[in-house]
Amino acid sequence: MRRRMVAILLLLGLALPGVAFDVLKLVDDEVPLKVRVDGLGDTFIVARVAIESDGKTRTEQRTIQLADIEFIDFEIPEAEASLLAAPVPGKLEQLRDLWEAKSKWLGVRRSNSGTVGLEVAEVLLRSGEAAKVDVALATFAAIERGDWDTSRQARAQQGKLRCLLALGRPEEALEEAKRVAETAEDPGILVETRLVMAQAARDRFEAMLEENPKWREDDEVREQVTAEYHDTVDQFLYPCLFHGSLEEPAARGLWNAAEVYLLADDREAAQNCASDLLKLYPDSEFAGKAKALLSAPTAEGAGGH
Amino acid sequence: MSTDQLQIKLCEFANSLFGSEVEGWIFRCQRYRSILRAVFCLLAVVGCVIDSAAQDEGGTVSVEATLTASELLQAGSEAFDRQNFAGAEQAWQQLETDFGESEEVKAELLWVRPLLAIAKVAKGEFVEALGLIEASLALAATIPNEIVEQLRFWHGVCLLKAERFVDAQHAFGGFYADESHDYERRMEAMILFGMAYIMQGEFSEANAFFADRVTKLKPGKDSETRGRIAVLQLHALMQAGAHDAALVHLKDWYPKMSEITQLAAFQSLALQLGAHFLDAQAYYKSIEALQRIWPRERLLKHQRGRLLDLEARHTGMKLRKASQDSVYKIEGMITRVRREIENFEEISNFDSALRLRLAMAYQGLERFREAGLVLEDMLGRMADDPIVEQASVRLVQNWMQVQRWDKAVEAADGYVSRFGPEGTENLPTVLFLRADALKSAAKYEQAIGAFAALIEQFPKSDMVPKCRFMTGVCWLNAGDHLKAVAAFKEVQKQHPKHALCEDADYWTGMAWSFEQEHQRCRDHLKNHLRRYAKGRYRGDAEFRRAFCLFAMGAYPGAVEGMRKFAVDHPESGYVDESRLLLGDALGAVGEIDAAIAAYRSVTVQSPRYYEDGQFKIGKALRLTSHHARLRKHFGDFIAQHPSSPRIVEAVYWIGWSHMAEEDVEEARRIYWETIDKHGDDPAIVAVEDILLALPKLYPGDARRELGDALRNLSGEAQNAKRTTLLARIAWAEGQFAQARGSEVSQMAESALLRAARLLDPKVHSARMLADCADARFRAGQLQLAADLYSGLRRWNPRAVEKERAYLGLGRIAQAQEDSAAALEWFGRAAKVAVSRDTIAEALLAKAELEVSLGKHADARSTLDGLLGSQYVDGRSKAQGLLAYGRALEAGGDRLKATAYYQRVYVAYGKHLDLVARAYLARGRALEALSEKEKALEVYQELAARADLEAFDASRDVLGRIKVLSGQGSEGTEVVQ
Repeated sequence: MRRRMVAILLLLGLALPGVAFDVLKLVDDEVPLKVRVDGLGDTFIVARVAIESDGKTRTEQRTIQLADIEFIDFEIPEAEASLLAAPVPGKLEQLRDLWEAKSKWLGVRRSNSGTVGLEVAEVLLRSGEAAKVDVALATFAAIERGDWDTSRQARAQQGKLRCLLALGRPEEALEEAKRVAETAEDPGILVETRLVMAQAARDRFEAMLEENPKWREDDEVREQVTAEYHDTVDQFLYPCLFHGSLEEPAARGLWNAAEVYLLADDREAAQNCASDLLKLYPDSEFAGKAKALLSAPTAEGAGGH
Repeated sequence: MSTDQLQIKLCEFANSLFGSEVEGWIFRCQRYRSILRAVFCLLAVVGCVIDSAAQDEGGTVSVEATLTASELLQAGSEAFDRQNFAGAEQAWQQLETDFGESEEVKAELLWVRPLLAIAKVAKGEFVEALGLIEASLALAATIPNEIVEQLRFWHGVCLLKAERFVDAQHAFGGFYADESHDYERRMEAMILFGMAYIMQGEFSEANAFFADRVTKLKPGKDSETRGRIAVLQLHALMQAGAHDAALVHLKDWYPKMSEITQLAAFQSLALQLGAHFLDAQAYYKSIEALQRIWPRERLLKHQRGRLLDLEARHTGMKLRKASQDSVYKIEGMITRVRREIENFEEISNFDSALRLRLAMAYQGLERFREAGLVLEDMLGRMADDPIVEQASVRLVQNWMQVQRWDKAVEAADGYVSRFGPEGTENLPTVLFLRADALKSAAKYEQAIGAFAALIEQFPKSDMVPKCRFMTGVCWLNAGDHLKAVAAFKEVQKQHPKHALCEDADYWTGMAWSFEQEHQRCRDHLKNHLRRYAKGRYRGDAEFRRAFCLFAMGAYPGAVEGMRKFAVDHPESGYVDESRLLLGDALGAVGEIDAAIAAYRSVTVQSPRYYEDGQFKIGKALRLTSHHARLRKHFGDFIAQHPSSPRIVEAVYWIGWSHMAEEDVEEARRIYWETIDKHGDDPAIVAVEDILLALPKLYPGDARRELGDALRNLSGEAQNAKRTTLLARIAWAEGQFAQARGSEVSQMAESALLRAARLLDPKVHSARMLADCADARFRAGQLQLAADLYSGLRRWNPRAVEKERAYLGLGRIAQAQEDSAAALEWFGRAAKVAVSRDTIAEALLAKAELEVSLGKHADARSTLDGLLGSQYVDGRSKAQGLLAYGRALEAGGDRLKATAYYQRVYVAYGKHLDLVARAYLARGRALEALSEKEKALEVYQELAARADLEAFDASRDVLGRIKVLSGQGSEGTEVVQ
């Protein structure tokens, strides 16, 4: 009867107080296991598996092949959750220690190692110090290579690009951008790569203008310069057209397109871009420049990019 | 996707709510059934007869008449367990029928009735369940609270289903207000309360209700509820016509979309909103809405990922024995997401609908580039369908609109490869646009081929006449006027009644004119004017006929024609040109005053013709020696047009007129005054002409005075930092010194190098840049010379001096042993040069370099170009032949080389130095071929030519003659 009461209570959904544990689901097994993961080898994990029988729970240490694991739902300690929820620069060392401990679990499905790694890398990148940005670059690269979560991989790709630009390595950033653009799906990473490529195109176009300031009159170079001009504008328009909800890069792309139009003396087109920018992104940091361009028809409104 | 389809989808999403809740209820009832089992035992104790009953897994339960009450109860319960609701209903209804009078059974029926109600709900019999539920609720005190809670909730649902909306809202309101009820279920009731407004069409009320409720919900705990409300609110706002508010709502929720379980529904509504704004021509708003919609694959991937995540959480929660309500909540979410994925997967053209609308919004804003880019991307990803086909046509049109001809051609090619085989209705249009783009890109031959292909493929298309006409236009632009005539005639022949016949006829006349067949043009246009007396080319044809008379030198007729034209067609765009030509014709027949009057009638509306007219007046006055009138005329011109780029030219002629009247002092005064006034303005290039004219004002001994004046002016310019004037003076001094001959060449070079230091390629004239760059090259200042040549090229792409820049850069590259660059520059020089000397020099330099690099075939090809060119003079061709011979020899073909050498002295005999070299080269080649006798003949021929005595070759062969004739020994080398 007592057993029945317990069963009824269980069925009534009263939660029992319990010990924290991880949940491991094997590929070929419907029933997940309560485990406490102890260690990770190259191809296996070592875990204590909770086995319940006759109302008692005992643990049994097992070696489980990674290939047999569908996922591990790790219990996140409260301290870790707090650290991730609001990391501050002063807690960088804690984050780095946490990352060091967890990084080996990157490839295990449902591990949150990648989240920890991204947090560490972002803090390092924000520092602006070259040595730390270098470490951030390596961290992003590790996550891109090894994380099971594709959205984190995408964020890591984006982070890598930002690191390369911050380290003053634009050529590498461009190569990286081209490589990533071929396969990336995440909108954030796609616009970043496109903007890197657009900037490279703009640099080429400006070099061509420097070399051929009267290109429109020059039959020999007009076609080539025109092609570079159009390619540059097209690239800068990409974020607004295809990922217009990402406001900052979209506005940045629009403003850069306006500047390229001005370089080519197409003031009307530049003002059209400025109009679009003000209508679609009125709160962006480029709105002021766009207004200036529209209100001073005879003055150049171009500024830095 | 149509509006109706979107609404259907939304209703299906809404309905998924009910389904998930029924499933949840069934799980909850399992708890209740454990209590029922206790009831079975009681019945058994009571001793009701229980017969065996066969039970089905599904469908009805086969019940024998002799089943006891407990058996029927059990049968119903077991059927319910297996979700065989019909069977459960049957068993329990039979229980009520057979044993309903029994007091014991009556009591148990109180417990059964709620389950029976749910069985009906599970079968979708909401209205039928309503009575049972209400009956059960009337006896709520006898039923466990948990069951009452469920009954109260499903009461509301059944009322909703029965379209008793107000009653449903009462039920849900009461349920929500009772805080003892399960929290998640209360949230459900709240949502359904709002949905009741929607189902009554009270959208504003629904929105107000949800807007109020959502402020009381907490992010995190109530995320899922907030997300569901977001979807319903968006729908309600749109249905209420509050589209602007809907856009604000969409933008507000976009960053928080991860909270929305039914994301596809939300995005589908966003698409509907974007379409609405597009229809209303609120293009920016449309774009703002459409920008916030994900592509189909991304949406599905996201939702599938969410589903996996929810399922994993569900597994973890169950194992950790989380509360049932948490588990049910997750299960509800899983059901909704799964159902949404299934529904959304059926919508196949979501992406194309989205992208097409976005492109249309940009088109509405006349942002054709943007529209083109969106369409281009869309077409690259979509499978063929009618929307994609239409978009493909639009894409070509967009690129045409922004004059991106290469893109238009590319897009047209894409269309043809995708849809061409089907032979769509739009194919002729696309093919025409493709051909038109080729024409606009000046790829005339390709355009002609494309028009011809269209005619062949669609001979009956209404595009055909236009294709034929455009073919003629292409031939005209390509300079083949006769083929243009043939094409235009074909238009009239094949389509005699078409509107384009008039155009074709007129342009036929024009083609004759371009071909210099002026009489044929006149005759043709005469017929044209007769045939199209009221046609739109009347004025143009009249002008052209008069022009042809002028071109033929029939000036009296031209005068008459131009006068008549100006009177008959005063508004024509050719009027000012006709006045100019009238002046020329009158001048040609000696009517100078009339000519001047005609020139004066040219208006300032045609600036180029006007200024030409003014200077032709000056020329007329000059030729008739009306010097005072000339000075007044140009004085007035300068006063009236102080910013004209030709004012200094006017000053030049004023000075010239003073000189003509031997008033040298006045000429000098006005020239120096002008040089001082305008000399520092790099835009007024004519100052350089005035400087070059100065020596005429200082003939003989007076030249020293000129030198002093220039030095003084130079000193003043230096002090005043008038750099351009200083540069011009130095350059002019260089020109003067060069003109005086080789003994002062060092002075010339020095002056030009001085000028070179002051030049800025961005502003200074191409002439000065070229002269100074050449001086630097001669002085060995290769990099400095290259800077000037490069600057000349960059800032004066249309100047004739560009050819000198290319040649110079080629020479520099050659000197720096950069053969590849040198070849490139020489090639470009030859291509752009208009000067015969430059063409020849560039080709010769290129060929020689190619020989030195062992590129013998290339060298011969280059020299073929030189020898075949109509622009190269005889001497250059003779040089070319010599070079050709050397190239052949270097390539091992000495015998052929001898023929080339021979051609030099046979065909270009007046170029004695080259003749002498040719003889020598031929002789040497024959010697190398062991043709000693022939070599001797050639040498002897050379030695015998008295006119070649002065050349080294003549002297040098004497030694070889001795050796070959046996009078000398080897070692007597020919010195080149």
